[in-house]
Amino acid sequence: MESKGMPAIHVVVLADELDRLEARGFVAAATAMAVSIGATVDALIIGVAPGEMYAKDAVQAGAGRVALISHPALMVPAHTDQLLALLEDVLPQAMTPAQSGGHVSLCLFHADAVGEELAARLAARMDGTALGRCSNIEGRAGGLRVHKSVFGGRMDVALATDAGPCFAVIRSIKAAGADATDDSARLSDEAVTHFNLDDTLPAIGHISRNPSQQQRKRLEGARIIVSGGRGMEGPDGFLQLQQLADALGAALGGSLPAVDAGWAPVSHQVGQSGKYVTPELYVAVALSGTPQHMAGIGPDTDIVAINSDEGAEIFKGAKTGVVADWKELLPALIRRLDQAA
Amino acid sequence: MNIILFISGIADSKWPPPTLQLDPQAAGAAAAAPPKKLSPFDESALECALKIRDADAQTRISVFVVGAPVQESLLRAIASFRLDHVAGLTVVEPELWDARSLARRFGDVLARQTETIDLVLIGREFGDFDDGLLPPYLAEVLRLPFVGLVQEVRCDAGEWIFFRERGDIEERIRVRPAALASITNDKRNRLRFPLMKNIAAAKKAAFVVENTGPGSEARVRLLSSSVRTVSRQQDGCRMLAGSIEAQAEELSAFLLSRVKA
Ligand SMILES: Cc1cc2nc3c(=O)[nH]c(=O)nc-3n(C[C@H](O)[C@H](O)[C@H](O)COP(=O)(O)OP(=O)(O)OC[C@H]3O[C@@H](n4cnc5c(N)ncnc54)[C@H](O)[C@@H]3O)c2cc1C
Repeated sequence: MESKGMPAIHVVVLADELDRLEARGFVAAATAMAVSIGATVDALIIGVAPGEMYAKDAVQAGAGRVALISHPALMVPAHTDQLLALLEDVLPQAMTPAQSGGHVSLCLFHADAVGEELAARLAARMDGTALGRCSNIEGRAGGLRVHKSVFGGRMDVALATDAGPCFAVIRSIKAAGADATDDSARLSDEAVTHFNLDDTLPAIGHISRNPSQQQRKRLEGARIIVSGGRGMEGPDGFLQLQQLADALGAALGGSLPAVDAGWAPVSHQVGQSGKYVTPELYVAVALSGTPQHMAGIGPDTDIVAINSDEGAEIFKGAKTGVVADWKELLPALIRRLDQAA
Repeated sequence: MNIILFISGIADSKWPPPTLQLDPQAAGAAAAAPPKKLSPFDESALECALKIRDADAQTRISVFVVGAPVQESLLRAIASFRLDHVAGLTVVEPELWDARSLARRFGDVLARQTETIDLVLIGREFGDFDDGLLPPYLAEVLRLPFVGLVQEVRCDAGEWIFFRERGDIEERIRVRPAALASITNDKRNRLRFPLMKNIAAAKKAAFVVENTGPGSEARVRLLSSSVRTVSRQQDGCRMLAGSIEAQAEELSAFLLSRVKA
């Protein structure tokens, strides 16, 4: 993708990892940052066979140009070594200082485990700067200013770098008109370039994959999440939480101590080191509300807190609160919800 | 097998976060630093290494404790697991912001090791400043295969098997040594308690702390910092009062209204 005029930031969208809404919100977030940097957005959409809709979404979310890259041998969920090989073919030419109009070049990935790994490994391979999980990125004379949080969400910092190429991960935002992508709109040939690749992809070691015994409703995209903390005291408490989640059609999450104890799987951990979730409603049961946990809950989410300690921090972040022992409250609550069903 | 761990620790969250130095040459930050403890991911990485040693007593475990500066209490806490080698590595604060310069420092340390390295383990996030970028960056600097967010490691017929979950899929990845894995928290790797006799021995131990020198190779620098104080709920929390039955009644009506909305 050759750059003319304004510098472009590169946004890598993994179509097999993100649903359309997440992908669109990600490009929208990148576009908002590009505006403050004075750059345009080039989206690289990669997948086994990413649909044209992803390209339309990206353009509507603000991308100036889109490369739709398909490779039939890509593994799902993603295998980072394969993606790295693909990106290493594309990004070094696209991110030279000349291509970036003399500015520090920047490539963005979605803030999740795969995005973080790719951002770091590409930065290392291109002797670049890994900026980490940024809440905002702005242009400044000769470089970039990035904003992020440290000390488990207890402190905000601004950092500067003049050394590109830079790699960062960012979170999706709720894109304006997110539900309203016009699927019938035609894309200009200039905006979208198709690459159908089939070269051999690398792999490390030998990977075997099995579906886990229990299929769970995903946290990503859930309207309601019920989440439990250390105060649930054991797997039986989590069985009751699952009943509550089922009655509400909700997904089930947990805090780090709940995952450590084996009551919830690590892929359902919410927080700084777990999933970042943005449901409409988050029912937090026997969770104290530490900054590390709250860092995983979107600012527009309404929190309902159930905690036996009236001084618990979680009530400061909640819209609705109940001071109660869950062992007494949950059976009464589930009974009522079941009766209403 | 020869295992290397890098551990940073985190500032104890019972204390307010420390004042960060805008000017790295200024003195005084060290004195104000809150005590450090192991992060949940440091603990998980350490336990993974200990489990490998449980299965094969020939396993050697060496730990480098990294800090600006390194706290002796952390060195002692780690040494109380009867490890083969525990040493400190002091870096300058600006380097903690930059995965590139930290990874290169660690690369220099490992280049000086005389024994073959079979496995490098590191928590999924390194200390208070890293968002999970240091472990994969380090793997690239060391030119080792990388497996991220591992929950369990086993050695089988001279090869490593890494176990991890990705959504509803369980993965088992078999890799020939040497490799680098980042470790996440899991029931299987909750850190055991050290034995009293080993705690006593660690109290008397002396540690070598290597200093990487006053210069910084960091390409990222701190512009400003502010402690977060704002609570996310400005209007206050509506508390549901009354007996358990009354609370359950009001809460179920509220939840149902949101389900149907
Ligand atoms: C580097 C790092 C990363 C981290 N990442 C995360 C992360 O991603 N996610 C995360 O969650 N944590 C994370 N943590 C851990 C975090 O610091 C806290 O330890 C954790 O969030 C606390 O979890 P909790 O609220 O379940 O437990 P606690 O803080 O122990 O709270 C338990 C709560 O249950 C209440 N309770 C007890 N019994 C009952 C009862 N019968 N009925 C009702 N209420 C009851 C108590 O009043 C208390 O408020 C991280 C920590 C570090 C250092």
